Amino acid sequence: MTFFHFINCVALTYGPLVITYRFSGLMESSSIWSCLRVGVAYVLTQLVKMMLLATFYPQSETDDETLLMDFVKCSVDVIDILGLYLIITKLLGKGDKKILVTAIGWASSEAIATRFLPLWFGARGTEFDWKYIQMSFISNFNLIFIFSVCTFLWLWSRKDTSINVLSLLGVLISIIIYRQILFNNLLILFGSWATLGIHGLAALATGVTAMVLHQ
Amino acid sequence: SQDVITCNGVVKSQYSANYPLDYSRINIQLLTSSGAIKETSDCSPTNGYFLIPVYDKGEYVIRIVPPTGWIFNPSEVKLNVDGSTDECSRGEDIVFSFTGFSVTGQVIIIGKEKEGPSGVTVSLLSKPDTPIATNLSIDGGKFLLEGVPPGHYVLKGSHPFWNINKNEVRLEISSDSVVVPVGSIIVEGFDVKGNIESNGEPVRGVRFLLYSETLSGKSLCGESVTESGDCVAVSDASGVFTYHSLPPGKYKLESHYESANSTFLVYPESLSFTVKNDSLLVMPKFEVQGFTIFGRVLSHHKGSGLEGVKVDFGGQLQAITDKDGRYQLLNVSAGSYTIKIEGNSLEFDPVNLDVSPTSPELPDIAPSRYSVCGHVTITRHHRSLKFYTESRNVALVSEPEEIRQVTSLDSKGNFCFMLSPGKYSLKVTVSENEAERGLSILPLALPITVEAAPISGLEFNQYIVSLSGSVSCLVMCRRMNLLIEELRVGEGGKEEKELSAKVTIHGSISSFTVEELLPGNYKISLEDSLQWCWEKEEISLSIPPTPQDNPPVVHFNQTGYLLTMDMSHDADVNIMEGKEVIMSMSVKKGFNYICMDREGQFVIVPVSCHTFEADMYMYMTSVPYPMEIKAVGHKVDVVIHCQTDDPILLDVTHSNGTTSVVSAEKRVNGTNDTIYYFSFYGRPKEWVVLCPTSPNLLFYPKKYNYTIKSDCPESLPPFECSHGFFVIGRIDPPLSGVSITVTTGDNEYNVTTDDEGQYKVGPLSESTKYTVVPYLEEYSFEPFDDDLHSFKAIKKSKLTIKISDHSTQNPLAGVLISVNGEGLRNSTTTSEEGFVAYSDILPGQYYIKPLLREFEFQPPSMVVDLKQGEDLSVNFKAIRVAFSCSGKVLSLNGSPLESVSVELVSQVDNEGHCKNYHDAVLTDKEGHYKFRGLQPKCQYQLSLATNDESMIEKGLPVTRHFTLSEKDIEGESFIAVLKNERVYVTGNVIINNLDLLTYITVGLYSDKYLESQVFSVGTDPIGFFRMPPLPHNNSKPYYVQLDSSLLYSQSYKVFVSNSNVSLTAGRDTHVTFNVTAKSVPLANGNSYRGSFVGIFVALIVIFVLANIDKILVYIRGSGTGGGFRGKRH
Amino acid sequence: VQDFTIYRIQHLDIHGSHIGSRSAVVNMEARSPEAAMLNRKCVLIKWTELTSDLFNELLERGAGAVLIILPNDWRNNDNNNNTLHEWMLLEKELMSREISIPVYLTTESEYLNEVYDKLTSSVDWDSSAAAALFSSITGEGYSLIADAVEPVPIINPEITTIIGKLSGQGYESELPTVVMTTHYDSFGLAPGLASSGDSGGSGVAAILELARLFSNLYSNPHHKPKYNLLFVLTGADNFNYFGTKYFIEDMLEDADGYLLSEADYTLCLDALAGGSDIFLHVSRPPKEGTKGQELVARMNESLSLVAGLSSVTLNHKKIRIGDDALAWSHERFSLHKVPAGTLSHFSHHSDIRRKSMFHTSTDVDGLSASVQLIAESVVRHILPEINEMDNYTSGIFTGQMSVHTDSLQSWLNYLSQTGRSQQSLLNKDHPLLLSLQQTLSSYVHEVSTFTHKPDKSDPEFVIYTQSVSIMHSYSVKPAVLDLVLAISILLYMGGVYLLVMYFSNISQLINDVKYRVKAKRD
Repeated sequence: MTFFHFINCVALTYGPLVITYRFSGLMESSSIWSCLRVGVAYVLTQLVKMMLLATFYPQSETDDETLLMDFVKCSVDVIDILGLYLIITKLLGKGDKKILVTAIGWASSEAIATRFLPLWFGARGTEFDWKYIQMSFISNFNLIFIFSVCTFLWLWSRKDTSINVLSLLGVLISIIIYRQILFNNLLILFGSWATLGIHGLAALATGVTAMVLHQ
Repeated sequence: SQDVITCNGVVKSQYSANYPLDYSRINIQLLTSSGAIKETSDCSPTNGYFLIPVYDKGEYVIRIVPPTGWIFNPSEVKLNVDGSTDECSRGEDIVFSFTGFSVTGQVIIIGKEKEGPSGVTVSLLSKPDTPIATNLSIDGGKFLLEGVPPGHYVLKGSHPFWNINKNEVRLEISSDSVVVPVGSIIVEGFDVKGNIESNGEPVRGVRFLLYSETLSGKSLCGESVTESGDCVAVSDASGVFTYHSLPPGKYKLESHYESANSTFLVYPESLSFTVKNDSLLVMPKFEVQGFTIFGRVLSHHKGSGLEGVKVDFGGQLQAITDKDGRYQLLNVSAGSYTIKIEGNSLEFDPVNLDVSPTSPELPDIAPSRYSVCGHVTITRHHRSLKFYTESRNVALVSEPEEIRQVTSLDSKGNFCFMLSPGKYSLKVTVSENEAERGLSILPLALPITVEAAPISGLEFNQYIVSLSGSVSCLVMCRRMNLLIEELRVGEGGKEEKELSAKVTIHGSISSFTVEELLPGNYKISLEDSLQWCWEKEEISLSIPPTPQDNPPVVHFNQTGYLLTMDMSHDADVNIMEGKEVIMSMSVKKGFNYICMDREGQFVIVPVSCHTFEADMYMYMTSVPYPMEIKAVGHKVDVVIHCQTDDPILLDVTHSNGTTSVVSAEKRVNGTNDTIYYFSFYGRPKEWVVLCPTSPNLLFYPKKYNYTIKSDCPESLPPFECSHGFFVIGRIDPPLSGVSITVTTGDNEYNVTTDDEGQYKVGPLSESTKYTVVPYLEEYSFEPFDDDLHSFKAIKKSKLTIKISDHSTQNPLAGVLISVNGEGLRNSTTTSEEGFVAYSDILPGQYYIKPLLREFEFQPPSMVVDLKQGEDLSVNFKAIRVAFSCSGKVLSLNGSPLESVSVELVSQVDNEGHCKNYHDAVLTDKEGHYKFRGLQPKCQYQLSLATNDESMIEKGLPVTRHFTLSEKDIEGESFIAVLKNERVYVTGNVIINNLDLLTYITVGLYSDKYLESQVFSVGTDPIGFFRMPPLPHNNSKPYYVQLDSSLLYSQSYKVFVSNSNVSLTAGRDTHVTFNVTAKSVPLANGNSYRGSFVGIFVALIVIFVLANIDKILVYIRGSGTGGGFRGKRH
Repeated sequence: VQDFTIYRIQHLDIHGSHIGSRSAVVNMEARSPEAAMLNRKCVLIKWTELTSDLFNELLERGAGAVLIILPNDWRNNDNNNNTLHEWMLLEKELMSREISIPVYLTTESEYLNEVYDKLTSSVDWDSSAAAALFSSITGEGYSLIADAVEPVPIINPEITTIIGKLSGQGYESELPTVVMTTHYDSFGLAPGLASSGDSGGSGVAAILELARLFSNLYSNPHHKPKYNLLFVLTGADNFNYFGTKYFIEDMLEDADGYLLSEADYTLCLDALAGGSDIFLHVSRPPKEGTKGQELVARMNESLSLVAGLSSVTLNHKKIRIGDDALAWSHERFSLHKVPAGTLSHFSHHSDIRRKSMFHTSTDVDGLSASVQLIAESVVRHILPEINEMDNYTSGIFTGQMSVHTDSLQSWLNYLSQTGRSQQSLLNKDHPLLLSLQQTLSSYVHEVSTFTHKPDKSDPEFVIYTQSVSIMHSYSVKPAVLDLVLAISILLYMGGVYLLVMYFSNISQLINDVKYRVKAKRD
């Protein structure tokens, strides 16, 4: 459409990240370096995932993706979880700020990696399409999802959590992993805007549960 | 348990009557099948009954155990105790019957208590010496005899070779086995054998002496001791010597062998051996190594000995005979030898002898052959034989048996033969070649006899001859040479001459001698005959190979002086001396030789039919050059026979153009024939034409041309004359100017009659056949019957026929008029003037009929009677009854068309006057056509034939109509449009993508199954295509098929509408193909079929890696069990 | 993004006047004609709804470009004559004036219809203001971009003329000649689409068939007349017959110029596939006694031989020296004093169908009849013997030598399908030209081609590039939508900011709730 539209999308995508970073008190504790480290970790995990997908993922004969194919694709996201888990348990040393730091680091690097180029080429083009805006919203929701995943993993890594909590965490994490399949099917059923709404709600729900479990 | 089974039996002895058996000393044992003793029980001493209990069933063996040596039968019984079938259960007795005691003992060797030899047969004899039991002693001398019933016996030991002195002992067996006391059988001595050979051959008569450390003399060898106290054994024929009884101990053996005249060397000299307790073969064998042999060599069987002859036995065994011819060889080992003896000029056959000590004296040896030597001297060789001498050889034939031998001469010419005694004849071989060349060696054959001594000094030498002779001349012999040439038949069988000597003589005494001539054929000749005549110029002489009584002598005598004449032709010659003709002879062409007996000057005058360069030739004997007499001209004689007196002349025309007339030289009139003779001279190689002429004579042959040969011609064929023969005749009625032609054979005479109508032709030769033909315009001639040469003249008559067209009154040309009658049958067409004239036809009746298509004639035909000489003219009127129609056929561009068929159809009209008429005509070269004979007043329709065969497509106009009036119709012309020879097949391909056109070709086929393709063309850029022109062959169907490589490629799906179209030829056709080609997306073939499993595995691996520390802890603390999360730090 | 081919209407300068749309660049939003603001917008309109005054109105309202959508079956809706006539008038109108904005034609397609419907339906005045506002913000917009650059005159365009010669019997130079010409280019509103089968195509098909007939005739030595025949295919005749002018100039300069100058007569074949009445247009009736007059007379007499033709009328029209545009192609020959005439089934030169691309109907029987008429008259002219023998009882070209209708038909079909405007035939090796040459050379003895370029200094006509190009259409949103979006994003960001600031209180709140819940449970 126009360059203006591109600016909007970028703002929508990266605004919340910046805000959460600045105003959640991370500024002072100079955790920019840890964010960078998380970014590097993120890149490594993506590399592993790509390697895995490239070697094992079957080239599909026909283009239509069967459910199984999707399932497998998402199950590769387990690596993200592991990456996060490692980051949380190994990479960062102290206190509860590290969840936030990881989440922000991870989300921002993901946003940059996966969102910036489509926006640059798509949104700036003359053809106007709503999907760029929707993409930006989705990237915000992802932030929330990642934040909740981090808390879950952090809880997981803490030893004192009871057993059924553990299992709950497991369920939640797997939901988060396989959320993409859910949304693809919803897209087909309800259409883009409705799916976006549901996506948002889901994100909020997980965020709340994360905070509940956090204490 | 009560079911014990008892086995009972009894031990019996058949000898119990006198020798009761002590049963108490016998036990009975029960053994299991495996041999373990179950029960033993003893026998009742009285009756030998026994009883053995068997507690449990099974296989058992019941065995009797007697004291040693007692033999029972059977010694054990096998039982299968099953309570029902076996003997015990059935209560039968088991019987062991006693067969006998055993006798044991030991044969010992004298002097030894314990030791004895094995192999000594020991037998136990009952009273009347019948052997009950025999056995051999085993080593150590022990022996055992079993099953000996009790009684009185005698034990005897014996051995074929050994000396068993104490060999008998009496025994009594009563109740037990008996052990023979030691020393009852004692072997005093063993036999000792040895043998002696001489390389494998046993040697007889060799004495061996035996010594012992302990014993000697009689005690040693018993009786065989010699007076001197030596124990001697002599080898028998088989070379074996034996000492019979030698007690064990050490001994020594020595051999001595002398014979009368030869001492034998035996190896080994002495041999020691020890005798143990067995017979002994002394080893090793004795060998007679060497002995002395002797023999004698004689000069011949009964002759004296030959001294100094070397006798060679092979190897170093050699000897030289003494003056008595004897030789002796020491230390010769036996065996077969070949004796070679060499003597000077003697030859001995090698003798094979077997030498053995037994026959030391060898038979006398005499030489088998003696040497016979000699020498051949050859002094003079024929020049060509130089290189033959070396390989000369001497042949020898033995008298009685004709055995031939050949030896060759050595370089000095000597030869030697080794001949066995007998008569021989020697001959020096001379090859046939050498014999031809005069080599003969004497004596031819030399008989010799060989008795007892070699012969030498035989001589052969060559036979050569010396030749002498003389030359005698009339006056003085001038210097001249004599050649002596040897004649020989060369290889190819042709004569060859070879100068072997040359002698020059001069002066009056002229004798000569030639030395050393080899035998053969010779020719002695004068080198230069000096133009003299000799009695004999060359003398041939043959010298035989064997000497003759008188030596060869040669003489040459001069007889006169040679006159040689070189004649160019045969001729007669007179030789004159002074005036007087001393000789006349005829000489042939070429060289002629005449001998004049005296010197002087002679004149030679040739007389012949030739003219020569000179008439006379001079010859002087002192200048003896050959004379050349050449003829330059030759006489030619001509003879003419003719019975007339008229003078006859002969014209002669020469080849160089000159002609001369020769008159007859001579006339001889015979009884009925006069002969004229002509003659003239002509140069050789010239040709002449002779032609006799006489006013009224005919000559046969008229002309004769003759080429003069370079010699007197043989007589020419005579000419003959004949009185000319004349042909005379007349014409009645007399007509002048009639030309008479007389033809005879090849030539022809022509004469015209005079005004009385007569003619005369001649002179003609009578013999030939001739015809006379008179000719005069308008007359025909008939020969008179009587005189064929005179004719009746009949004036011919003339007939002219005129045709004129009735309607136009002008003459009609081209009318065919046929006239026949009076020997005339002719039909000609009228000329432009419309008439036909027959000028000189015979009078008589003629039938005239004119004919022309489309015309009728008034009158249709005519018969005319023509009188002689009458000039009759007749005319006819032609009435046109049918008319013609003509026209042209042109092509489009006006060029005439040939052989185009034009059809004419007549319409039937109502009056029926015009009948249905249909005709077709082809146009000629100018494209012209003409229909003739058409009914007038009818309707006709013309059209060009345009059926399939014709080459016309259509005519313009298509049809023409006309009604025929009373005149011909012209100009019914057509333009013919020709068929088009070429047929075009064109078409186009409509395709959705023009780029694919390059893949598309269109094929034209001539058969339904599209096999034989005629053309295949591509399309142009927008899909149109044209086939090359097809021949227009009337409706043969063609098929057009579109084919393209796209059809088979995967990348395009092609749909072609009517891809196969059939079209009939003959018409240009256009074919359209609709092609739609859709490209088919290529399925991406290769897909990597990864599997999901890989992903899960990778996940798990990574999961494990992730919490490696937990897992380690878990593992280490495995003992304590606990949850996955393991102990807390 | 959707792509479709668009064809620009004529863009031509000829004898001084500039015709057609002068520019070609289009990068504007699509609008329906009824839309309020047309300034710098591309108007999308259906051909069927377009009228010349509507068009003028659009121009006045300052439309940036016009895209006209032709109905799918525009090529073969020849049946209802009246609409066809209107279309032709409109076409003539569009081609007769200079239009500064780019005007494109394109054929109907599903997408275009959809876009058209959307555009027309979006402006719906009587709906509520809010709805209008809303639609103006989020309404569907289309931006049309043509990848065409500013049209530039084609520098030295090559006009190709193909000449086939059948030489007669005898010395070619002494033989008279009959020339038959036609032009292969067609003309219409849009050069890319122009392919009228009748006006250009029928002449070409006729010449090829005549060449074939006479090559058969000439092939037989008996039939070979003493006449040369020239078959000429010229281009660019729709540009005031300059193709013919170039042919004449080249021919006369050429070595065998005599073939033309001393030709008996030159027959120009115009449209012949349109009915059974044929007209022979001449500048002045052929003089008495001239060969040309004989040929013309023969044409009348041969009429009887040909079924399917009702009349051949001679039509005499003087050349008006004054105006530049010539009526028929034979006038080019007359200007050079070469006797010539044009055969056409159009009675008048200004017949609108002659220059219209909508005139696609073809009548093959009429064409084959007129071909046979020409053939019969020419054959009688070059083979005078025929007349002496037969006065028109039967034709020559019958039976095996008759006219080949299915060949004609396939040529007509091909020519009326493919675009043959001169602009696309400038290259000598164009497949159509190559095929014409190959077909002609398979019949006649010798085929030669002249390529002529209008002289650079004052070209008789100038043709321009960019007659065919591709248009891309993008769906877009109105700019204001972005403004609204920006505002909403700012609000959203504020929300996030608040959320983050008070994150701790929120978590505190959640804990209380949790404890309360926990407490209640214990």
